[in-house]
Amino acid sequence: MVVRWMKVLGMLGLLLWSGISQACDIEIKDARLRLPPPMADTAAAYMVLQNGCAHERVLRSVSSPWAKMVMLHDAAMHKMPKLVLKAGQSFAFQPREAHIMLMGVGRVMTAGTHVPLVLHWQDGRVQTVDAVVQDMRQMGQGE
Amino acid sequence: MRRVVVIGVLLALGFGIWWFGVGAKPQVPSYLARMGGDFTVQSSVGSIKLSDFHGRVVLLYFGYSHCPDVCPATLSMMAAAMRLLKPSEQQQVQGLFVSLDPYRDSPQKLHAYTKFFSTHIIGSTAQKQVLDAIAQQWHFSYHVPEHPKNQFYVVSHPNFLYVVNREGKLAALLDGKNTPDEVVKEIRKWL
Repeated sequence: MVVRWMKVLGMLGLLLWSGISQACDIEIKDARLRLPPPMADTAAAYMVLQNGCAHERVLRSVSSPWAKMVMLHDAAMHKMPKLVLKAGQSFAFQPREAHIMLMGVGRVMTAGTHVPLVLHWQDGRVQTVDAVVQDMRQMGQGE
Repeated sequence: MRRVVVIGVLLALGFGIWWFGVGAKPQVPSYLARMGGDFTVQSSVGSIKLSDFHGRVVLLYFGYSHCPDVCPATLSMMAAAMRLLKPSEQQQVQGLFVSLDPYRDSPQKLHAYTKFFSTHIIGSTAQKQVLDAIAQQWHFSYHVPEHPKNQFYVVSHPNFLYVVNREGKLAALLDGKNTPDEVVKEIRKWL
């Protein structure tokens, strides 16, 4: 009898945990990519990440089917090995600051093109977002 | 007596004209006096010297074309500033981009790169020895990996926007975070 109740409670616990896990997600806003010059095979992507989870999430890497290599860079162009987002924390990849660098871009981009970016989280989850190509030349400070 | 007064007035007028014509010219800050100097780089139309642009204000930026963020942002800002100038002022201003990555950036490629931002910006580069000498003259450091694992390497470079006056002297140091309006204000000081 006790064992049966323990099994039931265990199942309920699992269901509750998976429910919490699914409810908790990283919200991605304003994903965009700077339109590179036509001859360039590199580009910078920007976005805002908001950790709505009650626990820390760690971004290990980003990839894209459009680029041979993608790196997270800080403002000084140093490679960021990971990005730790504490519970409730947000982080902005933005012009002249930390950004996502795409290298070996083999396709022609124009303003409005959607470029898929795949975010690989430490817990094994994968999140895909479309970054919209923006021509930032007219935006005052190049942003 | 009247002659003395007239001479006095003429002298005062002469001093006033000198003051507003020469004396009121902006002065290069002393901390910049030892920075800068002439150099020769290669563009798509051949060798060019910084001194070729004497008589014009030069906006000078060092970077590389594979730079994804700060270089395009700064060149966009530079181009925006030049667009804000009157046509007569634009003719007196020259943008110059020097790539510190001659292994990947040819003068032809740099021409296409800078044209994307503005036709008023010339793209150029030089051999490593020349770039090293320029870096020493202009007091900045840069780093290109000597044996990169692949072609996807990063070059560290200064993030200054150098304003060179009509006499070829470094007159002001700005950077990509300045607004186009601030750059225009600085340019107009030296026109």
